[in-house]
Amino acid sequence: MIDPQAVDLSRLQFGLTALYHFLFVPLTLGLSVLLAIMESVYVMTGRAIWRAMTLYWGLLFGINFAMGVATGITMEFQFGTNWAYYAHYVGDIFGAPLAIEGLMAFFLEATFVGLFFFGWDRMSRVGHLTVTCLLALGTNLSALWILIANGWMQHPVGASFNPQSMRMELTSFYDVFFNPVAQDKFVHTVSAGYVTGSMFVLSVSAWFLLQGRNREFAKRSMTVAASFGLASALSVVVLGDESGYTVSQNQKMKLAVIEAMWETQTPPASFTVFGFPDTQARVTHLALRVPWATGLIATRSLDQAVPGVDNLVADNEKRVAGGIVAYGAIDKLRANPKDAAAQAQLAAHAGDLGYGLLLKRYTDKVVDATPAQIHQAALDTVPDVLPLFWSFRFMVGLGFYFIALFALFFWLSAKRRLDSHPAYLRLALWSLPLPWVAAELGWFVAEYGRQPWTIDGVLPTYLSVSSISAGSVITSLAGFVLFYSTLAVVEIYLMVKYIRLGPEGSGVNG
Amino acid sequence: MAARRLRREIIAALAAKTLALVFLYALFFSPSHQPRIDGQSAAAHLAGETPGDIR
Repeated sequence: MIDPQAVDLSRLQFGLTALYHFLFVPLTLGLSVLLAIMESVYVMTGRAIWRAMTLYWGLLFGINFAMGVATGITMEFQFGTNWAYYAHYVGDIFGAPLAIEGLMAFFLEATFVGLFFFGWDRMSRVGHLTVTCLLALGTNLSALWILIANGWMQHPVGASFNPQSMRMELTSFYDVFFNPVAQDKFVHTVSAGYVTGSMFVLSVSAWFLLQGRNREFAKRSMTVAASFGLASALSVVVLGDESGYTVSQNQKMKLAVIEAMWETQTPPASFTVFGFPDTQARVTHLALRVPWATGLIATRSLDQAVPGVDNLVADNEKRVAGGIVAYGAIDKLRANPKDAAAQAQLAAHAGDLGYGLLLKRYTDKVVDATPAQIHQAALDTVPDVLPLFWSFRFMVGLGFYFIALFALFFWLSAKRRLDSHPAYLRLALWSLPLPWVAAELGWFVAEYGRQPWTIDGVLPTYLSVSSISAGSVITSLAGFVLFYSTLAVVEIYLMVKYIRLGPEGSGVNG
Repeated sequence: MAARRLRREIIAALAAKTLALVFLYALFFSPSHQPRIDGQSAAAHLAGETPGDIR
């Protein structure tokens, strides 16, 4: 029997390790591209200050890379131990992008990190710039393959279920690679990383100016950060809108829950900017709404409806019923793989099989499920409303704040008044943690909004977890918390130390 | 000087991290901790087949 506590703890453990790991990733993504920009200016102008900027921000990039590298491997540890049924069921598809990431992108990235640090005096300027550009490319390719794997969890395409092996099997790698959800997630996520890198450079440079030191170095760094940050923050919002569209096409329940939209509205649906969702009364109190906005984002039209939570639950009841038929067909096919009637039944209802599996929480005899059990399974397809509603709004609010902040510093830079307003500099300094908050909230919205599935519509989370004891998960979880907390402390210690030393104290004055 | 010191600190941190990861893996995630799942055990888990039903 599955221990629900072990399921919750395994989810908590995986979620925490992903969130910890993602503290390092966005800064690596953002700084790698900023380094390529700064070094390009150095190669074009030959001015030593741009070399010093590349070296100093590269040094801080190196600290973050060293602390962050391999922190994601702990998630792969867990697939085999905590998520063995998941690994069996979808390992054929999910494993491929992970392996490619490790073999191709990570080694590309690691090789060029080495060349970046040790190649300054061994290569021509253009040669070293090429290395820095390839470093940025490798870093982004790593993100691409991970997000292809994650995109498949959100929108499983290019695979089919084999009743004999009891697993999903790859039918089209092309479909997995060009999965629209994965592509949208990739550009949205790397843009968020660019915002993080830009904010880091902006904030640290603001601190230098507030201290009255390294003024030319800081002002040039701020100009690059403000320009690139503004372009990236605008991209995050535009690409987030595109993500909203793909979510509405493929994960309608996630969108309805993010919007706390209980019933289908007359199109075009409004967007709730603010309000207090009441999950008992199924209304949103004091709702401040923007007419048409959700309809336009989600359907790109004025006449198509965006389904509400209750309507989707009713639809999902039918899918659970279809899933029972698919489940029964699998039983028959395992007894007789040539049963033509069962093959036809499975073909007709294969897309609903996952919904039938939701019943396993309530009965071992899925084909005999009662209407009450079917209704309960359909209700389970609704993730918790409040965490998603608020996380999404904080993330979006921060996204618009970043646009305003980078635009302000872009304007100050254009007017050559970057150091004339200490209040603005303090604002930039104190904004340093916010991109991480936004990135983690975005990750939470994507993953928590996928519940109750590990693979959307295919495999319930409840059935993905191995038969392990809650006690063993608690122990490993404690080990992870200690491990990652120590790493975070070391990262912050080294970062603060070398930021305080500055370019001259770090010996990278060019 | 600072660069050399940083290199030492990073090497020390990487060594400690590698050790910690090996320790965590050996303690909680090595093959002896991983359940063996195949088509039959997945069928028992997902489709509710009893061992007698499994072919």
